[in-house]
Amino acid sequence: MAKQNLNSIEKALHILMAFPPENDTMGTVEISKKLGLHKATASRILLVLTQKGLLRQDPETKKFSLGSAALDIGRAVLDSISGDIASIARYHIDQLRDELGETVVLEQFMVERTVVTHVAEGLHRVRFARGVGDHLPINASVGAKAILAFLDPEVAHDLIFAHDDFENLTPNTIIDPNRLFDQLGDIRKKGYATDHEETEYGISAVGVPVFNYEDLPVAAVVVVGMTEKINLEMEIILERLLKTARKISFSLMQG
Amino acid sequence: MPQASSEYSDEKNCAIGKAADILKIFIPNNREMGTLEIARRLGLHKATASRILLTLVREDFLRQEPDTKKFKLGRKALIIGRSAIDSLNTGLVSLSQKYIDQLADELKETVLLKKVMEGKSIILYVAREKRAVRLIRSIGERMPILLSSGGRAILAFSKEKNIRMSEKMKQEMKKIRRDGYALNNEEGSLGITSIGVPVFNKKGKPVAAVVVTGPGGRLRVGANADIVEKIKETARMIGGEMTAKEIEE
Repeated sequence: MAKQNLNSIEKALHILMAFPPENDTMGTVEISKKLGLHKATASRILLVLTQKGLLRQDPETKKFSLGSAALDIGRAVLDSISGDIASIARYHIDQLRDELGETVVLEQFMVERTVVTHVAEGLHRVRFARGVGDHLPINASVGAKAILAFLDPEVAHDLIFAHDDFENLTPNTIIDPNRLFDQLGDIRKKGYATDHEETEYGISAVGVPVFNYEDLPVAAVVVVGMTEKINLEMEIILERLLKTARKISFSLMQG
Repeated sequence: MPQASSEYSDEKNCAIGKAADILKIFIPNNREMGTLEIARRLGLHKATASRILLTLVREDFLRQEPDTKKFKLGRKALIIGRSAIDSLNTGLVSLSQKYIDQLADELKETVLLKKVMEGKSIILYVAREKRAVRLIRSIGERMPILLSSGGRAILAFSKEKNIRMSEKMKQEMKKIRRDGYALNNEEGSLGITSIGVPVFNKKGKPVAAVVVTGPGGRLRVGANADIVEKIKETARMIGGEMTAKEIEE
């Protein structure tokens, strides 16, 4: 295909492919020459790719190399081959669902948000809005609250106050960063976080963090259900949930 | 900001951005997704998503499963991803490996090499002893810099002034500079302690950290002052070999 017929996405992908195998660091001129692009064209594409994290630019040399999003993409492919946190946790989560009959969810911590990576549907007919792949904001995710509570308080504070765009999902949603931060001490003391209709009417949830080999909370196991049911069965849910989270943490630590 | 040239409109930049967002939607575990789901998650029109997906498949960045018609990351996504991961394996990492492995053998604990990249602490190497499948995967894993003892150990000795810190954290940094190591034993719930010691290059810049993590009972610094000395010795040897080999990183 002739160069001038490449669409902008193709040009961008070709730029990405200029970096492997060594992840060379290259400046704008070098990249545009290598690919036969106008310098202005190359620099615009490089800007977008850098904003998206696929490339990073050295602040001193101004040269580019593959960035953290490229790294995460590589890790995602390798994880899908060899199994990741979700595949390690899946067995335990499905087992907890069988014991409780309620929906059990795994939320993985992605620093600015959590991502749902496994859902074991409850054994009744009620379905919830949460599905695998959903990104949850840290103010409206019981998993995120459970994780934040076990981070260094200062880090948690920074993560929470980096947001000024918390959205109301129900009248119970916490949108005040101060209120969210103030809850963390209590969650930490109790060892679990609760969501009383903060994300959906009639739906409550309980979340407990899962830790990696560095004792950092990297995910949370969450039991979701009808408010009355969750309230009624809180004691047994907590007992089983805490046990499940410990089992998953233990599995993650096994070298 | 320069004006967008007619050849390169915002619309085209936007198409690149959308393509990048589509690639990133497969993080963290490369789960198969169909056109509709991708369009919905990114708030794109189905036609727009289809067109971009077509390009990504044609260019081998995504592949489409013939049966389900769903998409996953493809060969070239793996190539750039591998390249980004492999490039963490620098001269520093290759010369550090034997020291890290040795320390792990000696302490019978998990030993990691970390550095700071793009404002996050990132795992570069995990001791061979502990490198069963699960820990190998942790190479490239990132955390907020102040969360890990490795990140704190590097930050305490770094000239980086752009990180906002509370008074308490500033005191913590002073303590790390005084003691020569960072200690994390109040977080989490598994009772894991981690100890981080910075590695300095010839110019005295903290370029990495050696981190030991294990059950708090075994790693209690008071109970075993030896551990800190051993980690410091490992960090010194790595720094020494960097200097000898003129590696700066």
